[in-house]
Amino acid sequence: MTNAELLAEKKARLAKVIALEKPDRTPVILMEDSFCAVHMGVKLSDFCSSLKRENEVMVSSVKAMGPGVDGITAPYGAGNLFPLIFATKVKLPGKELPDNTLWQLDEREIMTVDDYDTIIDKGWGAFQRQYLIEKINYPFDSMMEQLGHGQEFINNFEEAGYLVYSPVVAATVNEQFGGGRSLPKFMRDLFKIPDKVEAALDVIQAETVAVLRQQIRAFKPQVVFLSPARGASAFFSPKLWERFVWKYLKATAEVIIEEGAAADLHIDGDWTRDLEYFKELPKGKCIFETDGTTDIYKIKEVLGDHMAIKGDVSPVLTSLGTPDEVYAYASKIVRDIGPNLILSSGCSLPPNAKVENVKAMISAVTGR
Amino acid sequence: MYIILIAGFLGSGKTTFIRQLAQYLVNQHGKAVIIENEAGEVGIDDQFLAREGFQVKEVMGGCICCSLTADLTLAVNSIEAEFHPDWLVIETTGLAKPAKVIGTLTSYGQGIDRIYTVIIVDAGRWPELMEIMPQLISAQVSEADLVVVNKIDEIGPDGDLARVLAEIGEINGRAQVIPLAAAMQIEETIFRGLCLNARGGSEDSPA
Ligand SMILES: Nc1nc2c(ncn2[C@@H]2O[C@H](COP(=O)(O)OP(=O)(O)OP(=O)(O)O)[C@@H](O)[C@H]2O)c(=O)[nH]1
Ligand SMILES: [Mg+2]
Repeated sequence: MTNAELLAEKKARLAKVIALEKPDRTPVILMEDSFCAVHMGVKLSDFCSSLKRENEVMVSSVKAMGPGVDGITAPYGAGNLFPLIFATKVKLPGKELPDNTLWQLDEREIMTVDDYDTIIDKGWGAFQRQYLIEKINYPFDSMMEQLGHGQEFINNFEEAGYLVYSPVVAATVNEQFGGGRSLPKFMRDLFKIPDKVEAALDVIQAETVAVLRQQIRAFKPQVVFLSPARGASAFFSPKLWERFVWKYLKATAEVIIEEGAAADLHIDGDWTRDLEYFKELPKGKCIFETDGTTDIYKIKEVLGDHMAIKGDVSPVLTSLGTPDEVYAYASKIVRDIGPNLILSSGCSLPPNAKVENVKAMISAVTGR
Repeated sequence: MYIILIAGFLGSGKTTFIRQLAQYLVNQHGKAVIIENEAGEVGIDDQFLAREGFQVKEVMGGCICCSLTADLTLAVNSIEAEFHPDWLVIETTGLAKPAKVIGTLTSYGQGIDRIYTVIIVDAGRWPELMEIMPQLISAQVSEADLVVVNKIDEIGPDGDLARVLAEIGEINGRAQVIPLAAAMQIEETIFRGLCLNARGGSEDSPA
């Protein structure tokens, strides 16, 4: 089989799982970045130095895992991009951190209460660029330039016969304040000035969705990654969750679907209480990506007829467990979640995951 | 090695409390280590603690919090191998539920005699946090062996401390509950009792 044929086969397999049909086998998508650096013996500081470098290293790592892997979540690492989603500084290896320490969100209150008004008056785009450059010293223009090479980065995987699962990335708008204001201050704002927060979020939402539509039209992705990471049900009372998380999550997912892609809902933390809400989204058009905190069996029970499920081999297992333990867990979910499953780690593979454990996870699908 | 796991919402006063606990442990001449498993703003002043003979180790996670518990367990095991301390104090991230951390430590941790869970609650923000994130705060409190109701100085004499204590008692009737202000001097008897319970009730050995 040529790489192009292999790629077509993998895309068709993924499409079947998303459409709730039965695939020939469970797809394996690796959600990884820093792990690839360790795997390839590259220092994290070197890895993070540019999106191009991240892409090179990730392509080599995926190839070394073998053709049984269907693809990778993203064409480059997440470290450099966090400020765009969380409005917070990120400490990077080789800069604020030692060469081989994983990047770290540096959460503190940088956005002020007055910034809500500025956003409402002036709009989000203008505010964001200035904020990132002036308040968090983010190399905004250089990042935009690098992101402009997105298609080349995707091609590097596809030419090797691996798909890039969700080349377009979005986050629900509440993340900008959860990060920029810091989570405790944001929570206080929801308590004291909820109407103002909502008005500002509505402004961000309108602009973000317009940009997202353009991106989907440009890249024509099969799947779009949508992260409401700090939106877990466990963090909000039902009323606040509905108003400040679900409203934006649902609207953004609907836009993704309207533009012809599937929505990968990146669900970190405990969302058990609100699983029923996800039935409001169109059937066969979404993937519930769990980090393992929301129980995958519960998700299958509530949403198995409605959407695919991606996960959820835990970072504890891949870094501390043995290949036999990893194989046993991965095989169990392949069997029990059945045609709904896209096999993956629960959230990103940690940099200290053992290579033999990642191989054991893949072999639950491809055979040992 | 006895582990004291300190959890509680962001900004509740975990680090402030740990500083005094650390001082107490140092005075008891036991070997002790602190792990900061934190993404917050105010870190432990490790120079102060290093002067006092303490080891402080920071454990940080990249993608929000998903790899934190594994990193934490690896840190615990390397501390056990390197220092073999009598006490290990762990400050967890304010968004963590202790049960997950304890589960991982129980499965993969080495040299652990006991894990004692202390939840720090911000008394002044209790009504607000219970309205905004009732599930997380209740889950944290329900897993506590000891609930420290902190910042009682911010409630004021006509404040609602009694109501806060009653609500905590409803969530967790098993835990000991101690109101205090960690920003001021904490009485030594509180730490003595804490350590005694953390050892499972046996006498404080001279170590
Ligand atoms: N008024 C008052 N303030 C306190 C008290 N204890 C702590 N604080 C303050 O509360 C703030 C947060 O305290 P920390 O000890 O950093 O809280 P933490 O739980 O470690 O915070 P994170 O690690 O960010 O989750 C600081 O400004 C402390 O000075 C107290 O008893 N009374
Ligand atoms: Mg702290």
